[in-house]
Amino acid sequence: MRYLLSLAVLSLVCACGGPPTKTLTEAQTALNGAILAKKCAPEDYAAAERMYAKAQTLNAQGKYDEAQQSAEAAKKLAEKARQKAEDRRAECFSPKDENLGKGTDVEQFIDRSDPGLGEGISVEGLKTIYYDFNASDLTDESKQTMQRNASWLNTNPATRVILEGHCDSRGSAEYNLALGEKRGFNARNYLKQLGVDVSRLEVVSYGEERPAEGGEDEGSYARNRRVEFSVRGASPGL
Amino acid sequence: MLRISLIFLLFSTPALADDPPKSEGSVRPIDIISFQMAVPDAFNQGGAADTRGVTEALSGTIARDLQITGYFNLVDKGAFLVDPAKEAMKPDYKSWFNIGAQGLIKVGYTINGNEVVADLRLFSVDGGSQVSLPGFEAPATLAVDPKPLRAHAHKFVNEVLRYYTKNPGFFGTQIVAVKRTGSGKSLVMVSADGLEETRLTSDDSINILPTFRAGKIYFTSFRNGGPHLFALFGGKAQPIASYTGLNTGGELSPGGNALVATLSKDGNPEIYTLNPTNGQVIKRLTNSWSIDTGATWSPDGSQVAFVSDRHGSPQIWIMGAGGGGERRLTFQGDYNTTPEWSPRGDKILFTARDERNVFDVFTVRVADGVIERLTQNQGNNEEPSWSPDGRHVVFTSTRSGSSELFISTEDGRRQFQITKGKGGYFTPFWAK
Repeated sequence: MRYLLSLAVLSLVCACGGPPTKTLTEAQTALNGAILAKKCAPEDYAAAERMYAKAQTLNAQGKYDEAQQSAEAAKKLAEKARQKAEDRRAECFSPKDENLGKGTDVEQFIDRSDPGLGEGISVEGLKTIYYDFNASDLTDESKQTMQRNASWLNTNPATRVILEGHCDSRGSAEYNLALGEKRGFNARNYLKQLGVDVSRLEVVSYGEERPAEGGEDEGSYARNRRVEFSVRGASPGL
Repeated sequence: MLRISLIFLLFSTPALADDPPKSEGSVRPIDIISFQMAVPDAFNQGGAADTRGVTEALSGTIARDLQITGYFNLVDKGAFLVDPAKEAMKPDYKSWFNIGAQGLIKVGYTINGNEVVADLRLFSVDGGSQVSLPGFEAPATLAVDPKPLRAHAHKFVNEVLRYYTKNPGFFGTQIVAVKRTGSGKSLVMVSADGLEETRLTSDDSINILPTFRAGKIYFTSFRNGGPHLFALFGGKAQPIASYTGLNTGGELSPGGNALVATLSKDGNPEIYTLNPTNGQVIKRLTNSWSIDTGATWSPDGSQVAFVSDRHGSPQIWIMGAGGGGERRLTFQGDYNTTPEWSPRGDKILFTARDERNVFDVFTVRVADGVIERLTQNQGNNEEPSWSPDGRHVVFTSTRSGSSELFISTEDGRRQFQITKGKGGYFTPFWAK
């Protein structure tokens, strides 16, 4: 059952795996609507709350697919809790509790902060981008990744970040240092176009000197042609 | 009539000594016939037995050195008709002639405690007489130790080469290269025969792209967080240039008064000349939106060869040492890099990637752009560097499985693997 649920959920989610903002908002709304369950079906409400909190944590960790699933589950649990509370309203509701669920400013419960990109995210929030052979311009996939990176950077304006340019191991070591730098410059320029303050972004080229992996096959080469992000003071990205 | 054909004769005036072997110095430009040299093992001339590798250090070194040059074929020891020890220093020329030897080298030793008297002699089989070589007219007394014995043998080979080609050999010279060490890369000094190696940098950062001119090594290091230029002399790494961005590929001019290097501090990689002591900019040589890198000096210091992708792909270009007059030299293929100008001025070595993404070593003639290919179907061959006299080339090749140093004749005809290291060697530069 859970497997089918996961499949159903996944089929609804787009392949690019961005943060499930819409679903999180829906789950929050569902929780707000089940406020009666806080009194009349407290265990069910608590379960829905826990699932929602889990969805938020997963989102903050960048595990968007799992966050999506959890948010969906939270929404369903909140619905279930609301329904149960309605069923029990006659026996649990008493007049002096009338204010619950009526006239409550639901708006104030809606979490307006950008889910998943708040405090606590380290450089994990900046994803590596990859380049085609011999190329230094950004691929479409890279541009999407950089848009998420731009959000993180704008949320953390004080963090000084290094863009490391890398190449695969083939060809001239010195020319690869120049090519790696060009990749880093192009990445930084793209962030600038997205409105990021680039004065705190430094480009350092490692050429072919710091591969992510040591294989001599096309797969390893592809994973070495990259720009990755690091914070000065931390150990340089491998 | 025996003929001697030596490849350098293709490119220069006849290089035979004034007192050559009696055979003619005729040249067959298409077909190179290597000189047949017999090098029997060193023999005991009356002292203690050799238990400490004297034979290997003397005649073993001579035989291996001659092979490295690519000019000599060693006559198979199994074909010898005489007992070389028995005939001592009085060769039976006819017996050597009959097995095809043109030259004969005999080494005699007399071991006495920790000293050995070493007698090294060259004989002309055709001429039926000993050839007197400067510095080897009489036996020498040396310590029983591989290093000084090998050095003595190297000097002897250099004289043998001077006799036959008018140019002394390169043994005793050094090649600086890069090796992976731990998580980083270190500079190492390798003797021209590949048998002696010394690690130069001791830290665990990335140290690469060494050059070695006029007794000074310049290199690029990441030890301070980015690619910066350093010099190695006086037993210390001296910081030279650490501008924003790239500081790579520093090479000292033949006159020693300027460093050429790649800096990207002004927005993108360009070639600059710098003060060799403090890295201050003397002049910016290139000014283009493209990548300009890999600069190297002409032997008279009047020009610089470099890599530029201003026409869309990295190619070899040359320009004046003050910038200006840029001229493109390579037009085949879409990836030509790592130029080094021959000490003889006429050709530039470089690495090219072919249509199968295989790397090979080439030369291009400066006057007319004629290309010569030195390697083919032998793994990846890269980052070549000239010998001090411009008649040999050292480069890396992966043909044996790992990236090892090979020495080749300047046209690629004969190639010899001089290193067998784990982890491989990179970017060699032969000291000039």
